[in-house]
Amino acid sequence: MEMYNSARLRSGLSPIYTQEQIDQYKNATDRMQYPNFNRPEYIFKTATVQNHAISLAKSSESSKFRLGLNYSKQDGIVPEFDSQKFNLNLNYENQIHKIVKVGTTTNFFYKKSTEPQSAWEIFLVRGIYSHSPLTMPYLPDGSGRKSSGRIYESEPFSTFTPLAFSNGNAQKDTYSAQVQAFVVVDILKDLQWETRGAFNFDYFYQKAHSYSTPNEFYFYQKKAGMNDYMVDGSVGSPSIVGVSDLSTQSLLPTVFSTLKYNTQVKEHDISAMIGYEQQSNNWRYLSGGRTIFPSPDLKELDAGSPDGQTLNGSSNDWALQSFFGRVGYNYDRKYFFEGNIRYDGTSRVASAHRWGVFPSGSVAWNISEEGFLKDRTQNWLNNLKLRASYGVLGNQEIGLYPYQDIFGYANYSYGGSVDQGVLLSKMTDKNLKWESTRVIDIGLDLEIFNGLFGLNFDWYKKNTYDVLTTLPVPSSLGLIGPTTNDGELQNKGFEMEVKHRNNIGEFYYDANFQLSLNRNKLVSIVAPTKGVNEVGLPYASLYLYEWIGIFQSQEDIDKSPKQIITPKPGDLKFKDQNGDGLVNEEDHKSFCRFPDFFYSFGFNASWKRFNLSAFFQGVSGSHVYLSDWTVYPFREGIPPKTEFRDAWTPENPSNTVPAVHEYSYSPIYGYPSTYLFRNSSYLRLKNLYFSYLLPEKYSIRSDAKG
Amino acid sequence: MNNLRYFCLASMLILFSFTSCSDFLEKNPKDSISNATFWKTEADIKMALAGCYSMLYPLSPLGWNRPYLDCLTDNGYSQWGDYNWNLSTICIGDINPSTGGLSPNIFGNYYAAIAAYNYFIGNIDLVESVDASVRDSYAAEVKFMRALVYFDLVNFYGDIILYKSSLETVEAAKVAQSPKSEVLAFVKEDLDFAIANLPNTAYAGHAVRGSARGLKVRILLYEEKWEEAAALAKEIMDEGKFSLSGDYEGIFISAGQTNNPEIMFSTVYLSPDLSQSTCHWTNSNRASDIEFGWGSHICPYDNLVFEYECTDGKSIKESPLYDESQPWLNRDPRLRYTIRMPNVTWPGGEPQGGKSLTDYNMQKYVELSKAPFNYSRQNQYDTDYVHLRYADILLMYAEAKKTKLRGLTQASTTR
Repeated sequence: MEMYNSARLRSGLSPIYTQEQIDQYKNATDRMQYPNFNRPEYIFKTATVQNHAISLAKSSESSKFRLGLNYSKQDGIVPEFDSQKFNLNLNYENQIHKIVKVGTTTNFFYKKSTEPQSAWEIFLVRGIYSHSPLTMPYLPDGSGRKSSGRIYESEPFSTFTPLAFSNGNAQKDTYSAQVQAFVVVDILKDLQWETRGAFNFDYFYQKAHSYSTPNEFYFYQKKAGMNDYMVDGSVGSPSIVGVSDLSTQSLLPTVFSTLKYNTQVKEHDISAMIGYEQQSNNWRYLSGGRTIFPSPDLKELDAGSPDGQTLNGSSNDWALQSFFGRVGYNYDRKYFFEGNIRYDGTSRVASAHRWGVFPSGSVAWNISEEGFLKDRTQNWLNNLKLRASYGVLGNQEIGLYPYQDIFGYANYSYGGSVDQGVLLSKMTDKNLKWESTRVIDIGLDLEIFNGLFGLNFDWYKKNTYDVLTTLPVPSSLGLIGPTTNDGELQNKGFEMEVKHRNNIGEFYYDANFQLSLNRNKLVSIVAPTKGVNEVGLPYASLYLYEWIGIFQSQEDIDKSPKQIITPKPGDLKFKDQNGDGLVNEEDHKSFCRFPDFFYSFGFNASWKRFNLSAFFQGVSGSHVYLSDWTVYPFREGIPPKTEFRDAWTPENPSNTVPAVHEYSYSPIYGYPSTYLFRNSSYLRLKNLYFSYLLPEKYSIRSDAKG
Repeated sequence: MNNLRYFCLASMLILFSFTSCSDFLEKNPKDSISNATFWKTEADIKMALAGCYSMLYPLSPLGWNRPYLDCLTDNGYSQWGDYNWNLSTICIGDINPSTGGLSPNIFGNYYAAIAAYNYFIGNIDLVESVDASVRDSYAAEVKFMRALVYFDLVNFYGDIILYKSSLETVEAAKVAQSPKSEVLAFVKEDLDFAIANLPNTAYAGHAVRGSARGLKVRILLYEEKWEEAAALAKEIMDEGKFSLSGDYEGIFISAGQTNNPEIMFSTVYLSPDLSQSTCHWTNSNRASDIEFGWGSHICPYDNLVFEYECTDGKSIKESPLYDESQPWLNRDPRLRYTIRMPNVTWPGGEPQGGKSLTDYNMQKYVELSKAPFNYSRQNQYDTDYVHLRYADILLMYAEAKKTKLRGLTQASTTR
C-alpha cells in the first residue's frame, strides 16, 4: 500500500490509501480482516493427467492388423478447465493377390473440454496473478458472500476477480475422423504403383454460456460509518451474456498416387518416380446466440427470447493439385545424383499464374567407399560423405481469395427502409503468384572408430523471394492497397551434430550434441520501415532507445545528455547514440529479436535390462519485447513484481531497478526501450526416462499379445 | 496374370483422367459477391448504387457533422477539439503534417467516395439487360454525387487531384493536381449530364433534377457568374417542384423531414440500423442530438447571433425593437430554431455531458422530443443532414440578382 502511494505521488497523482488504512493493514493481527493473501497459491492446484492405452496386433504372412485405443483425462490447474480425449486407430493391410496389396489406416478422435467463458480466458489467469493481496475471495464476516477484489472505493477498477469466472463456461467438443485406404500393385518386378485416397472430416461444436450476477460482489472493507458491506457494481455484469452456439466443420479429401521404378544393372542403381496429388478443403460454420434467458440454469437457445438474437454463417474452400517426378542414380554406392521436379497449382492464385514449377537436385559423394581410401582406412573410417543440394519450393499461404475483387456490404436508406448496397474497398493484383524459396545446402557426414566420434554438418542459404506484402498506396487512390509479391528475405546458417557411442562390456552408452545457427536478413522490400524492416537488417527488428542504467542523483542528471522528458533521480537513463548531447527520436537503434543459436544435447545409457536417457534443449540470445502490462507496476492496481523490492531509493542506489512508479509515469512509459526488451534464452530438460524391461518369462503368452 | 496387369494399367489411366477437371482449382468466395459474377441485372445496379450513396455515411463533412465546419469561422467554437477533427487546434493556426483531424478525414473519405463513384460509372454499361436510358439515370445520380464531392474538395484545397475514371494500377494514381478551373469544368459537365438524365420530381431520397440544378446554381454563384446563376435558379423556381416548408423547425428534425417539400438533397439516416451512429462502423457513440444537445460540442458565438435581424427587417444596430437585455425578443424567427438563446430551457434539462462555453447552444439538428439524450439510445438519432433546400435557391437567386429584394427575401423565407 505504501509502495502504491509513493508510486502515485512520484507520478504526480494523488495517493489511494489513507495512513489510517495503511496502519490497519500493517498492524493487524486478524489476518482474515486484513489479509496478506497469496492468491495464486490458493487457486492453482496440482492437476493430474491420466493416460490409458491398449493395443491389439496380429500379423500373418498375408495380412497385418493393429488396433489401438487411447483415453486421457487432464484436469486444469485453474478451476473451470478440464479435458478428456478418446482416440481409436486401426491399421490393416492384406496381400489379396500375389501382386496386389490393399490396406487401410483409420483414426477417430474425440475431445471434450470445459473452459471459462470464451471471451475471457486470458483475463482469468491475469486476474489470478494481478489481484492485490489485500483481499480474500470471500468476505471476512464468514457470510460466504464474494468479494470483488477491491477494498475501498478509492482503488482503481482492476481485472475481474477470478470468482466472477464461474458465472458460466464454454464447453467444447471436437470430433475428427481420418480415413485412408491404399492399393499397392507390383505391376512388374521393378515397377510398383501405389495409390492412396484419404478423407479427413473435422467437426467442432462450442456452447458458451454466461450470466450476470450484478449484486453478488462486495467491497472487502466496510465503508466508514456503514454497518454492512457495500456492493461493488463494477464486477458481476459481463459484457457478453447469454448463450451462443457455434459449430464448424471441414472436409478434406485427398488423392495421392505414385509410380515407382527401381533397377540395378551391375554397379548402376537407377530409380525413377512420377506422381500426382490433389487436395481440396471445404470449411463451414454456423453460429447463433440469444441474450435474454429467464434463468441462468437454461442453456439451450430455444429457452431464450428472440429479441436481440444474432445469427451468422459462412463457408470457404481451397484446392491444390500437383504433379511431381523424381530420378535417382548412384554408381557403386559412391556417386549419388538425384533430381526432382514439382508442378503445383493452387486455387489461391489467378489462372494466369496458377501453376508453379519447382525443381530441385542433389549430389553426394561417398568418399569412404572410394577404393584408394577404403583400403587404407578400413579399420577406423566408417563413413565420410560429402553432399550438396539445391531446390526451389513454393508457398501459397496467402489468404484464400487474394486475387478476386470482393464487394463488402454498405447499406443506405433513401427513406423508410434499408437498401442493401455493395462496395469495393480493396484493389487487387491479378498478377499475384506463388511466394518461392530457393535453398542451397552443402553438407558433410563423418563417422570414425565405430561410432566413437560422429559428425553431421550442413551449411545452408535460403532466399525467400516474391514475398507477399501489402503495397502502400497514396490516400487519393481511395482503396486499400493490393497484396502483391515484393520483397526478398535471406536466411543463412549451419546445423551441426556431434555424436559418440561406446560400450564397456554390457554397459552401452551414447551421447549427442546439436548446434544450429541462423542469420536472417532482409534483402529487398517495397515499403521499408526505418529500423524495423530495412534492407540489411533482420526481419521485424525493434527500433528502440537503449537503456544504460539509472540516474542516481540530480548531479548525475545534470551531467548526462538531455532527455526529452525530464527525469528525476531513480528514473531510467538512455544512451545518446549520435553524441549530440540530446536523447531524442534520432537516438533509436535497431535490435534483433532472433536467437544467436539453438542447441540441444542428450544421452542414453543402458546396462542389462535398465535404461536411462535424458534430453536437454536450449536457445541462446533470443529476446522478447515484453508488454508494459507485465513490467510497469500498478497498472490498474496490479501489484508490482518482486524485483521492485529492490527498487531504487535514495538509500538503495540500484542500477537495475528504477524507483517505484505508477505505470503511466512518463519518464519511463514515454520511452520504448531495451528496458522492456528482455533476454528470453533458456535451457530445458525435456525428457528424463528410466525404464526396466521385464524378462520374457513374465509376459503373458498368447496368440494375441496384449 | 496378364489380364490383371492390363486391368491395373487401365485403371491407372482412368484415375489420371478423372483428376484433371479444369475448374477444380477455380474457387470463389461464398459469402461475398465477387466482381466476376456482378453487373448482370438491374438489381446489381441498385446494390452498387446504394453502395455509392453509403459513402455519405462515414464521419466526414458529407454527413450530419458538417455543421462543425462553422467552428472554423467566427460563427462558433468547437469545444472538444480533438474529438471533432482537431478544429480548435486548426483555428489557432497550429496546423502541420502531424495535426491530423479535418484534412486527412476529408482527403481519405472523399477520395474513397470518388473511387466508388468512378467504379460505378465505369462498369454500369456492362449491364446490357437494362435500357440505356435507365442506366443513364442511375449514372446521373452518381455523377451528381461525384460533382458534390469534387466541388467540396476544390473549396477546401483549390487545385486538387482529378480522377475522371477508375484507376487500373497504383502507379496510375500518382498524378499531379489539376487546376481548380479544370476541376470545376469537369464538375459542371457531370451536373449537365445529371440535369439531362435525372427525373424531374420532388426529392424523396434519390438525387433528382432539382438537386443537380441547385448544386450548379451554387457553383455558378461561387464563380461569380451572376446571370447564369440567376437564370438557372429561375428555372428551378418556375418548374415548381419544390416549395418552402411552412415549418422551419421541421426541416431539421427527423419528425418533419419525410416528404418535406423544401428539401432538395440530404444525407438520409434511418433508425435503428442506419442511425447517425450505427450506419457506419466508425460512427459509434456519435450523433447530432448527443453532441449538440447533451455535450455542447458547438458553442455559437455572438458574431452569429448578432447577424440575425429584427422583425422589422432592420439590423440590431438600427432597429428600435432590439432590447440588449433580452436579445431574443422581436428577432428573426429563424434565430430561435438555430440557436438556443439564454431564455430557453430545454425539456430534459441542461446538457449533462458539458455546458456550452458561450451563452448559447446549437439548436438546429437537436430533436427535443427525443430528450433526455444518452449513448444507450444512440440508434434512435437519425435526423437527416440537409445539403440543399429550396430556401437556398431563393436566396441564391436574390443574391445573384443583387436587386433591392429585401422584401422578397424576408417574406419568402421567414414563414
